[in-house]
Amino acid sequence: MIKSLPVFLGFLIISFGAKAGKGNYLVRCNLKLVDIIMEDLFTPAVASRVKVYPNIAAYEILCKSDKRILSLGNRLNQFDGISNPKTKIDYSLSALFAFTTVGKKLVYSEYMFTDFEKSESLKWLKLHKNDTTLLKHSIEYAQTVAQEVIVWMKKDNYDFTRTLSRYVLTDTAGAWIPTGPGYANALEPNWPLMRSFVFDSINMVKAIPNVKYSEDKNSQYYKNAMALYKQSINLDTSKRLIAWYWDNNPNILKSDGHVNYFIHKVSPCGHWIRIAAQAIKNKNMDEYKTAEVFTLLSISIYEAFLSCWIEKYQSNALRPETYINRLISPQWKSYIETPPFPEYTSGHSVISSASATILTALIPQPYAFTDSSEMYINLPPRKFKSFRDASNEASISRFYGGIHFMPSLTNGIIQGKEIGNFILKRFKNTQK
Amino acid sequence: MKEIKFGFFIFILALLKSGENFAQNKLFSLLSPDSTGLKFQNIVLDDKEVNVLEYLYFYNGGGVSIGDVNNDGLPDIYFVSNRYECKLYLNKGNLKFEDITKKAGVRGEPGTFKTGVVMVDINNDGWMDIYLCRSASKDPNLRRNILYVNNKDGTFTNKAKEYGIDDDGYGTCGYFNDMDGDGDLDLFIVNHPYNFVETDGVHLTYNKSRVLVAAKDTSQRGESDRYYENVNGKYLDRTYSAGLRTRSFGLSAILQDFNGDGKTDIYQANDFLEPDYLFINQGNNKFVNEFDKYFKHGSYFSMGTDYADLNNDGHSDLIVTDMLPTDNKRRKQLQRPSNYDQFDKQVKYGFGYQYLKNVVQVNNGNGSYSDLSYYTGMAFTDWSWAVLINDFDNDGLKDVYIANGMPRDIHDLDYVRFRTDSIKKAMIKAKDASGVLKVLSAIPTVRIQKHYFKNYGGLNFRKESVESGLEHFAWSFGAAYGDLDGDGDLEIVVNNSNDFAYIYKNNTVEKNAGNSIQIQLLGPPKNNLGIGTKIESKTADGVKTTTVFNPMKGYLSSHDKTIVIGIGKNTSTDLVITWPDGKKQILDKVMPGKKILVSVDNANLGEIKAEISKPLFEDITTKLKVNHKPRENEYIDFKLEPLLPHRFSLLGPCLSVGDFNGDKLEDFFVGGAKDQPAVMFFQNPDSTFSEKKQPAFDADKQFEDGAASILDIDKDGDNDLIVCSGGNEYPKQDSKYPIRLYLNDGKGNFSTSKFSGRFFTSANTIAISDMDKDGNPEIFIGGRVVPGHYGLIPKSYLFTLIGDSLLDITSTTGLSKIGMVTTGTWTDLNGDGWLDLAIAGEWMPVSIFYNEKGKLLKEPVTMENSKGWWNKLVSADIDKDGDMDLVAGNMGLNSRYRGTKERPITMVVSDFDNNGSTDCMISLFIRDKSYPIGLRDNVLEQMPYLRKKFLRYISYSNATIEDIFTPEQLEKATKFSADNLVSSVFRNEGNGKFKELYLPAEAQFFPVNAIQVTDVNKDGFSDLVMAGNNYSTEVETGRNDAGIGLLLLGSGDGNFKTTTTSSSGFFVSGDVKSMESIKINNQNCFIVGKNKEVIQILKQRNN
Repeated sequence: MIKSLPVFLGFLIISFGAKAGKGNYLVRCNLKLVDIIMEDLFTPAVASRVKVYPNIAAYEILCKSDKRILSLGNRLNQFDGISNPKTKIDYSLSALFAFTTVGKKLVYSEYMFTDFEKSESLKWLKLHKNDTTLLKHSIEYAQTVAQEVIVWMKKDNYDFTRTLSRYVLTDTAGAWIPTGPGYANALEPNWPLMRSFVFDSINMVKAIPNVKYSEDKNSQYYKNAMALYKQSINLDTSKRLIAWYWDNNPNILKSDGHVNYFIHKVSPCGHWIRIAAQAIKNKNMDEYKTAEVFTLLSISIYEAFLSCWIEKYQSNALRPETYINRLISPQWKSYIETPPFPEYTSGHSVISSASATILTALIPQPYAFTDSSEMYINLPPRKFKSFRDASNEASISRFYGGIHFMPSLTNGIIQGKEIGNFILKRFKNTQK
Repeated sequence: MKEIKFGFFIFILALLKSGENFAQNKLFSLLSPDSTGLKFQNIVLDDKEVNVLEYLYFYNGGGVSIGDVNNDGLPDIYFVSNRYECKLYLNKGNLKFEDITKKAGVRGEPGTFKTGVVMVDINNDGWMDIYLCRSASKDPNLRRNILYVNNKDGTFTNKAKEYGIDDDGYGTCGYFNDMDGDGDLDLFIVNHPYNFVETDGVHLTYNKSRVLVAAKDTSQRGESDRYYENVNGKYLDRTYSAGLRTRSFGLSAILQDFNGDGKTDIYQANDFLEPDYLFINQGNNKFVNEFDKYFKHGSYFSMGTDYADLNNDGHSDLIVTDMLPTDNKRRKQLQRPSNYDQFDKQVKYGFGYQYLKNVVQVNNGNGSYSDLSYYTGMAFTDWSWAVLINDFDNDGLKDVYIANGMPRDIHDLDYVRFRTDSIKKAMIKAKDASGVLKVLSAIPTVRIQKHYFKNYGGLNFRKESVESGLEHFAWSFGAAYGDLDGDGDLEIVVNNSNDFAYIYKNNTVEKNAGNSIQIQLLGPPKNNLGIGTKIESKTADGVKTTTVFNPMKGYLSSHDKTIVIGIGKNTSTDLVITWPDGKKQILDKVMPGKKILVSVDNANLGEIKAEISKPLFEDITTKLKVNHKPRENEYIDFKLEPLLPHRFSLLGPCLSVGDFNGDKLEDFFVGGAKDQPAVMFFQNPDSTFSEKKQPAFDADKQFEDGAASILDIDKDGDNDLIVCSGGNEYPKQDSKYPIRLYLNDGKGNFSTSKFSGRFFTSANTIAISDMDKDGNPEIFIGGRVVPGHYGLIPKSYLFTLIGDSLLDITSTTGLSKIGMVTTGTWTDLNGDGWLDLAIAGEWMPVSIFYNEKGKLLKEPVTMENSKGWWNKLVSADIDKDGDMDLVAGNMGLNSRYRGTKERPITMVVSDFDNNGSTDCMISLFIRDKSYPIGLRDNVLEQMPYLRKKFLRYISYSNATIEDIFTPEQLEKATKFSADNLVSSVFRNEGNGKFKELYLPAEAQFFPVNAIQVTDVNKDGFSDLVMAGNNYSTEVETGRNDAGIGLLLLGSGDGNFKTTTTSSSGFFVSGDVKSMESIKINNQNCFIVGKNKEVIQILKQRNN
């Protein structure tokens, strides 16, 4: 009996309710979603969409119960907010179910959310004297809200972009071509047509233009490639570790003759969700703050991908592997797998930089941390002085991994910062 | 290990028991290990040190070789064990065997990794020796090949080093034949490089002239094959000087003459990206890979090979096996979806057209081969290793046996994409470093059925694995044949992994089902087995067979030296023996019974020159100075519509012939693809042609020309042009498909009419006639496709010419939405003096709109059971009975898309996910059930919402259309079907009745796109020339490229006799889209339009 007591107490700590001041159920929701995204093999840009809508749904419900956070209604493109509850509900529980209901619409492995809902409901009932009426009303409200969010979500052009042509290769100098080992088509060439949450075509953050393509040995482009190539042949263990640590390729292909296999990894945005989740726990943040962090973080990551993807398909730059094979070393391969889309700018740099900007503003500083997000693939935890420190390492990892030239990183970091700052400014009122 | 072994044993016992009970009446009986004493198993189980992750070819199995090692007249058997002890079994007669391995000293050094084995008399001492290849080991000394030289006393000694053939490559198999024409046997060894990483990848780099080329590993460690020339009994490495330095994962080779010049060539089947080679012997120990000159495409993961005459035309045909599963479920579970860009890149950078299927390259006898794998039904036989072509039932027709299987389905997509991930992560979590075996043990293992195709003549094969007693399930690799009991029929021996070897007794002679002649060759001193000798047999009933003695074929194996020639029910046959040096001997009335010995010493005849008659057609393309190669814009229809069966952007060029400048000489128009202007060629008085610029065509080059026809639009007495637009490039812009009118100034200068471009559709056919006899012609334009929305019905038109503009009278007819029309022709089919309109198309029946005194009936009359993928209709009085018949070109039968009345091709079309794109799903029957053709990933690309339904491959792999869509969805969908893909003549029987007469088999080998009726041999009966193909198919099916043009001679009753290309001279290969007759220098000629290839012109000879 005595032995099980701490366990029981532990259970209470991860329980529901504003009174306890804990937003850990939202942490659980988000971590579950990261797992499902990994299972379902969403590609990075699409994963950023999957992350954002469930968080907005949960956030909007919590707005109804506490004025410390403000609704995003009419502050996001085409979003009018949600209706009010008509009965007494448990806002936390509704937020959780709104999250999973919207989430189920977005993911493929719905069953993983269904299982999650079941265990969360049982926990909740235990803590609420089996108040099934309250449970029922809370879920009903969650579903209403989820539907409203889904209707709004449906207008984001995602379905439309599915009907458009896949990427068509072009012959222009320096244009992207597929890379080994999978030689997959370029992912999401129509993503630039997706609806933005906060930008319009005028104020959309644009990347600094790329270095002019050239195959001349005296050109900056060539020099950038040579710098990357030289780095690659002298890559020490610590750099290798960094490249692997931040690889975050959702689906890496190992190809050995007839034997192929895939390893599913946490996507870049999943990695930052995990970092945020850890910080939220460490700082013991309440559910409102938690919802705000996840929501603004996921919006920023979504916008970072959108801005980055617009640049990628506009500049349509080839990958280092392609360039180096052509001009420097015919059989050279990047240290980590080159992902299948154009090079400029570095997605990881943009989204990590945007994430760090958001987290630095929303999580009480200073915050140094040890990140153990990549333990599941046997990579040891890493220590960071700050979010910015981590995001800079994420960025440089692409250079060590041999998949981005330097300007992609430096300009990507600037791009990400601008996006993060724009969003912080826009939602200044949200943060009380 | 023990348990597993025991499990296998029980399985085999059960198998044998059931086999023996009912197999007596079948062609073959599987004999039990107990009854034969042949208890060999090639045990291949992964362990920590040696496994498929360490060495990828770990599961590739072992060879088997049949030969008489003790000269007792009974063939003995040598089995390769990959890892353990190889076995030599002595044939004691009556199909009893004794293991003499240890005594003979031929254990093959257990612990090293053995692969292929062949028997050869290396020193021509009359005793068979054994050459064994080795691989896998990192230590090259453990890979040195072994040559067991026969000591004539039941023992052998390894003398590989002495002979110079202790090759230390990663060996697959050795092949002996005379390669340099000096009469002795040289050696070619198929090896492979050791590095298996990215075997399908292409890295591009600039070469010295700054052109992008595929980067290749040119270092020595990357090399593979070896060629050894026999110089006075010593073998010298001539690989480099012979031009045979390669880097490829070869799995088998055939050393035989592929082009009929009498010299031995090398065909090598290569796994992975590197295409197969055909090294043509240039003489003087020099070889050049000329694969592309002879073959239109190859198989991708090429494995086993055999080369023998399948159709008794005297020419050997080639089968190369690949690995695509036969049944639907396994295919969907194992086949990776195609990647168009990757395929395109492979072609662009020199890796050729390679498809995931077996190829059955039938020798056309004129230096070209046509792949008839779909026609013969042999395209998909799963992971196929050995292929044996021989006459197993002594009926004079060579049958095909295929040994297949893979101990672990390492391609299983759920395993590759999902299971490996969770296993690896679980291992990390459990800190389990040992994991290799754990990863491997999760791979599904499935034994698969062997394939036996019985030859019914005329390249008609039927899979009769069960009927022939060869239906067993195992993982089978090397296989060999030989008459083990000396009764005149061929037994088959198969080396299985993790199972007992099979020995199949052939019951043909016992059943009195067919006679045979057994021949043993006594060759010249340096080739006493007579390898390379040709034996032609001709029986009283006219069956001619040709057999070339080459025992080293198939996979890792060699066959017995006694040749068995089936002669059916005949009691004798006449034989012509041609030795490798060309000497011949004739043996008349040879009777079955005792084995006959044929000695080269009695060969007393020189080469007999056959008389060659002049072909009926002559290719005059180069003479005419028409060097026009229509170019294409590369629009990849699949990018928008991943489930399309073929592209619609590559249907040109169209042609139109007429005198355009009033000099009474026929000129011609060639349509242009999008962004390519149409061109016009004018005939000069000296019969050459000159091109003349036409600004009007240049101005319209943004449109793809779908069809063109001459028509005097402005009634000024010259030939104007009407051109409709085709293609698929502009998915949403109707205005990009105008019907255009070009007016001629009488001198061959064209201008665009002000009435041009008022009607729009994507079309590929125009048919013109004065339907109502009012002096104003009517113009039918058949809509081909709704761009970007395959499956929707395009608009067809009927116009009448009023003044010099078109008047749309479609609404008075039933033509508007008749279907995806490909062809139409006006002809009076009911003899009432009014021209009727016959049309056909994709998914359409052959339809006739009868003309009722100048008006077309609203409803067509359709031919029964004629929904096809038609390409061309032509009318003529084929049977000379005074009424018009129809000749109809269809898809043909050499395609993955096959449909009959009972088992039609079907398609459902709808916007299933309501996202604005049109979704089409084609289903094909596999055995008795219809399954969608699309692989899971491709279907999910088109309809992302289905991913929720099909989270894993396994859930999709057995799904039918009804499982994929709800009844409500299906009810709303448009349904199509095709139940007749045969090219035919519809013979007019009068009274509105037509009888469908199938054109001969050769007309079914390719999609017939162009037909012309002519009388070539001046016998008064209509003959047909036809051509076709379709290169724009999706990548998984592969191009239809077997067509090489065909002349069919009419017999006056609607039936046609086929001709060979060498006799007709009508050699028209390529992606033929159009053909028109044209008078050049007053002679009948045919002009042929091909997509992306030079226009070809053939002259009909006036013999």
